[in-house]
Amino acid sequence: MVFREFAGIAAGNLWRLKLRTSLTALGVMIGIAALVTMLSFAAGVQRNVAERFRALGLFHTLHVMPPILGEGADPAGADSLRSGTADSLQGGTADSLRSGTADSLRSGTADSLQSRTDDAPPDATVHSPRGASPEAVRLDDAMLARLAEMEGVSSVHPQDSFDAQLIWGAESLTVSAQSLPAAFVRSRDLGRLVAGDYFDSDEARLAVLRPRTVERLGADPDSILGQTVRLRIASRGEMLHLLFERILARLELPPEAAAAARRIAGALLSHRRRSEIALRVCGVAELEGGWGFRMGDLLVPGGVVAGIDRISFRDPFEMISQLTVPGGGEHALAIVTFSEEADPTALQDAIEALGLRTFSFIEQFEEMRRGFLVFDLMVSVIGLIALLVASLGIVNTMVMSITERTREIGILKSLGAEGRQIRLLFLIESGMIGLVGSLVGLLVGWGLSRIGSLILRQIMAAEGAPRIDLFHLHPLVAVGAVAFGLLLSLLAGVHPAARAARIDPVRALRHE
Amino acid sequence: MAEELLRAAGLRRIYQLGGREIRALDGVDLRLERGEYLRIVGPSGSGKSTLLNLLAGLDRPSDGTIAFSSAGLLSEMSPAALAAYRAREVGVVFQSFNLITHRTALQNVELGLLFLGVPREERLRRARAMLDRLALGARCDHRPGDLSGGEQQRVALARALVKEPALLLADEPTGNLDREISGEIAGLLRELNRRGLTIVLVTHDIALARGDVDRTVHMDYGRIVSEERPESHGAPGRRT
Repeated sequence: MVFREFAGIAAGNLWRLKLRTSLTALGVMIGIAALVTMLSFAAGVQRNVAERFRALGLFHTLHVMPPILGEGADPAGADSLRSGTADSLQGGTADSLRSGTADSLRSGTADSLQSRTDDAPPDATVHSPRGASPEAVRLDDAMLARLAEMEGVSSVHPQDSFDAQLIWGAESLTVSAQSLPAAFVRSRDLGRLVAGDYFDSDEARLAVLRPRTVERLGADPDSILGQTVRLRIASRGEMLHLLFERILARLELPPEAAAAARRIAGALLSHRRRSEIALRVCGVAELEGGWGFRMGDLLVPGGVVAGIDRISFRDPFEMISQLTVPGGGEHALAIVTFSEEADPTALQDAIEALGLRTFSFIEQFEEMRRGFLVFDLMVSVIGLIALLVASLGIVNTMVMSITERTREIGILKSLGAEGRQIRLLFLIESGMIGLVGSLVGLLVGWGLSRIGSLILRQIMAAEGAPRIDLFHLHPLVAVGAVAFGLLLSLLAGVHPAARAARIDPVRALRHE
Repeated sequence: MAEELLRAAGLRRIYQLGGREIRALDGVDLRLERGEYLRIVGPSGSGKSTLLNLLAGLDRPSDGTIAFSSAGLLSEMSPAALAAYRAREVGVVFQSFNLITHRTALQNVELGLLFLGVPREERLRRARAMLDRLALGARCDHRPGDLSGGEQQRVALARALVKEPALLLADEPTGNLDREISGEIAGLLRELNRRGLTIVLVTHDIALARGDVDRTVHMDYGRIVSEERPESHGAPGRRT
């Protein structure tokens, strides 16, 4: 009961000194508003990243890649290249091909990996095989089947990309295409549909185009829907033939020897001709990708390009794989989806024991979370400094108030107030300043985050980026901020309240 | 023999001031009977207000004891028990009224019951009744600044009496009032004593309430130097 009575008296005292109370509470308000706004921003960014991860299913996804060329004593890829293609050439040619091409590809690969952001997993977090020797380890359909049978694995899908020429009427574009299984496309949020739909069959000759690709063709999403486009796919043989001709020119062989070499190569590189397929445009979608999913300008069902000799100039991983596997059939990347119950680390270890490389997005997300934590801490320190300054204001106000109300304290003591009750009265007053300041600060912080969000959304819309909300005020942050403001105000009131409690009533009653 | 309400024995109160020892009280013995009207007179600095502060439980003696009939030894009480004694047993009025200026007369009076744990509604009802009794019913919602000196002292008296204390201590209650209003306050105290309230009146005005009290003690240099008991008065608390 005394607490309620004191709360009434304290509120009356604060109301009587409105200006002083408001100015003191303003300090708390600014501190809390700054804290809430900054923490909302940090939480908003974190939430957006987490949502994107979730939409792409990355929390239950592992990327699996074949062992990198040159890794181990005698890499399978290099061996295949030598035995399948280069061995049939002249010895010197094979060597120069190996050193001149494969090495440059290897160094180019390493460089590209360093600079890649969302195309493919960064090199630093790709786990190299640690169990089996990389020899003869291939990420082919047999291996995919083996992965699919592993405990906890829900599905395994290859992800292939290749370069091609997209032809529509008189228009022709060089595009980077992507093939993905229909089931995978349906299970993930790969991007907002602008027109039509994604495909449901792996064998259907369908294509989903990016709006930008449609624009480059001089069409609009609605008019291109249902239209047939042609895809001319650059072949691996074509690439090797080009390399062979360059090497031949450098070797300066006698014309007869060169002609013989060309005959042999011609017989071996029979797949050098380009393939051309006709596809019906079934959808136009903002193929966003991100966080390990490099989405091309065009998406086709996995089965459409299964048997087609193709090469990607944009993905070094895939390019190496495509060049070094004579018969094709090996994938540069497989997406392994696992169930909620599966242990990602154990699964990762099991896959690596097969001699394959893996990349876990959970680890990447954890690293990002650590970054966010540092950001949160920095933001909190800034807010804390603002609140510490505000709490000094509370101390000052309370000390002034006690000096002015010394006689009143004496009167209350003469009427039977104990020291602890006087302390409680002043603690309630400082707590009320903190509570009001914190609540108003929370409202202001929320308002600022809404305004900030609105402005950023407008900017994003103008830039053509998806309109995401970059601020998120978690209820716990809101409650925590108010509780923290209140706690700090109470702490600020402890010393003045203790001083008030110690006041000698006889002296206080004489105080003018 | 009349019932004893309070007994002080060998009271000393020594202050240290700038390295000097000030003996505000230097061995005071005092006995107070229930229903008695005691007047303490003496010049400024004689120790009468110091004695009153000790009796009110606002201060503690450097030496000696104060025994209160129902509460025990004040000098040995914990701070909480002493606060409870102030809240329950004793009402104090001061020369400077000591009203809280931003509270109305009614709010000032109800404060007298706050530390007894009386519910708010009950406090307001009793405070209003007490103000009515002291002819201040129409002044309930006035702040002290809007009241005359006499009215302010009556509000202070109402605040001291609202809890129905066993002992009323009045420290120069007419010191800031003119002669007419002083007579009015003295009359009120006389009336309260006639109804059975034990009163200790501290004053430097030798004439104030001279004919009303049961006993007058004279103080000087921190000691009781003389005591007089008007012969016309009978036993305390039995007058009508």
